[in-house]
Amino acid sequence: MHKHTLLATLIAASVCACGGGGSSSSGGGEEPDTGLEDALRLIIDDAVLNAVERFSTQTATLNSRSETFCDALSTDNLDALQTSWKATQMEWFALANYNFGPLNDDLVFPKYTFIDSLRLRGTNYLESVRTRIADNIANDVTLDAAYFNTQTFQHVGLLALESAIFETAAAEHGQDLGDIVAEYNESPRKCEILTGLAEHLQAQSDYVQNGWTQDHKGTGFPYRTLFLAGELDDGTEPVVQLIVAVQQHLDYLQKRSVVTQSAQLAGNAWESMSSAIDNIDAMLQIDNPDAPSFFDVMTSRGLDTSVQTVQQNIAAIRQAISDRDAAMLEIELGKLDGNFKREIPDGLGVVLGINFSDGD
Amino acid sequence: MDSGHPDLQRRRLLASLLAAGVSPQVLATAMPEEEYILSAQGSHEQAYGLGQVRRHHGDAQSASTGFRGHGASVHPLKPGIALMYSRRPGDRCVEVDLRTNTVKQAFVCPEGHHLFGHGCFSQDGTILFTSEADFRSGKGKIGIRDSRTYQRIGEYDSHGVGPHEIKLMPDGKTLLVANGGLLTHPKTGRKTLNLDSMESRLSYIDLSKGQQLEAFKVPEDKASIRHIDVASDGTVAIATQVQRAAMRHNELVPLGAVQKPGQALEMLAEPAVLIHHMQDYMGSVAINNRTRIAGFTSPRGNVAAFWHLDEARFVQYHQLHDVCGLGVSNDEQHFVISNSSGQLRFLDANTLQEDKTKRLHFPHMRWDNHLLVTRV
Repeated sequence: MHKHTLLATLIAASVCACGGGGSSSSGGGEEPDTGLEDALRLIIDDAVLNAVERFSTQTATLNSRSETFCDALSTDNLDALQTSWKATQMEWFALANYNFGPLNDDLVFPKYTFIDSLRLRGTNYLESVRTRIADNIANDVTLDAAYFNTQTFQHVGLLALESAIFETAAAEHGQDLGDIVAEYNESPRKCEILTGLAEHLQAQSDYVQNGWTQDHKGTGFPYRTLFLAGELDDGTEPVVQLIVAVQQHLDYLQKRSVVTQSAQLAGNAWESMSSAIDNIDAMLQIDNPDAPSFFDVMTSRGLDTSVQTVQQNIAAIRQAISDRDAAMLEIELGKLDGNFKREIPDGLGVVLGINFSDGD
Repeated sequence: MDSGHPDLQRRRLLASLLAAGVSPQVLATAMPEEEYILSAQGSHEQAYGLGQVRRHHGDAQSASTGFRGHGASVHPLKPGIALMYSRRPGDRCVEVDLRTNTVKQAFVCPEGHHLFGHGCFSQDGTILFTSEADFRSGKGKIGIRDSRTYQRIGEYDSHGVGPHEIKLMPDGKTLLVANGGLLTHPKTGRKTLNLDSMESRLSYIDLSKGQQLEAFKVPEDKASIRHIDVASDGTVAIATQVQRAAMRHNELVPLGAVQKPGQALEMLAEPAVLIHHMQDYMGSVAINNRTRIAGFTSPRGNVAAFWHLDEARFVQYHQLHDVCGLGVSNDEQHFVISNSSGQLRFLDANTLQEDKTKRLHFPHMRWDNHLLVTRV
């Protein structure tokens, strides 16, 4: 109780300090109040928490439609289920821009890997997933929540669900809707796999949502509160955490050739890429009379040319997506990745860390 | 009202002894020692210096050097004196009086050489060794100097390219050299010129003749062995940095390793997810002899991670933004870690849990790559 009260006092004091001071995260002396703290709060509430909520809503829908499909196996219900998976994947790509806090609060077993195994190192575990699903159809292991909770990250999450929903488990891995429904009819255990995986994914999503909005790792505080108060466990400044997370997602999307690796069975990798970029674009220029956007802060510091550079690079990414040009997309993602290492932190007056950016 | 404070007592005693005519040199050796934490610090030329924190005072100050430092050593024969070596491709080393926080003297490399930011002393303290490059030939060198005058006595081949951290083995006769394998030249700054052909090795060198006794490589050719620490029994812990851009595969590469005396290198391959999080980069390593635990920092991963030396078993991790400096307290009760935001944290050397009551934060300090805990 005492610890709780002390933390609450600290957070209250920090929030007051944030609101009144317009402090610079660079620590490099007095800077004018550019509204960076307000901009950060706006981003968390409008961009990040909305992404958390939308992903949560979609995982719940996916879970529900898995049950509906298994209750009444039909191509129509499978089609609805596939649509739901695609929507979930797109919302995931928006949320994955913010891979910190509850999504990534354990360095040995981070939650995000149990949602998207590709995100860890760009390794495609499809064959491993296929083998596990085929084995589980054939064996008599009890496929309950306890079973799925003990699975390694490679065998659960969006990829495992994609395989279960978009192809047959049989050797040819056909994608015809009728063939898939027929397999579910012939192998009732496949429905246990499907619903078990969908429930497991929703549990991951619930953990993330609860952490952001209710209680982060038993602190008694939502991660949002801790984040905005600058009370992060590892001492990272909140704005640095946000910038680095987005930069790392861009780095991943670029270096791991995600449009040719992710959602290949579902065929919506490009749409997912659009979702990630749309979210970043919106995050940078949120229009709200109560607080400036990051672009507003950069402009107020006289760095409107940097804003233009970022906008041009986002436009170029959109063009590459529209053209379905993977090679060009890689180049343009690299440029925006660089913007999050230089133009954006510089424009906001943020130092990412000397060892991080220039160690030996 | 503060008469019980140890610092005030110490100052009063010092003042009275000085007033009584006792020389500062005698006082320096007679007074009780206190714990200092040393680290190169600063984020720009005007701020670069050797930072010091006096634990029991809780204050921090920096001796301005005008160049970015890297590692530091405490002089074994000059009480209260520390050396700070410039970061590659710098060529200066300064001697700092910790009590007055001033640079007393400096030396530079011979023409055609630069430093790599590390050095160490011989067992009797009379010789200073520095890791250097002869950038005209591209060969790694170990500079040898008289530790009192810093006059250059000679040099040995490092038996590799790009020697980085060097340590004296417990036998006092063998120098351990982390030949990072990376070729650089002052004209091209910190750019690596030999990524395709780089070859890193851990070299054991006979100090009497300069001959290489043994050399070991890690399995990954593009992993640069940069930082090392040696336990009192001769067990070695190494930290590497992977040059991913030069690699032809995308597999995860273990970054740390342990070598027990007379045995092969044992890579610290688990937990894989944590190693991935370190983003191919370990910046410092330190061994706690009491608990036989080795710590490794990764500023890219914002994490300090710990493995047990004897079982090569992962023990624990601690997250801290941009953490890189790592050392062991003099009583070996804690690991000490630092970051570029001026933070210092103390982790219990057994449980590896942070003692939050000991946290120190000096927002004006930018602790750099390494940290050294010592008594002065």
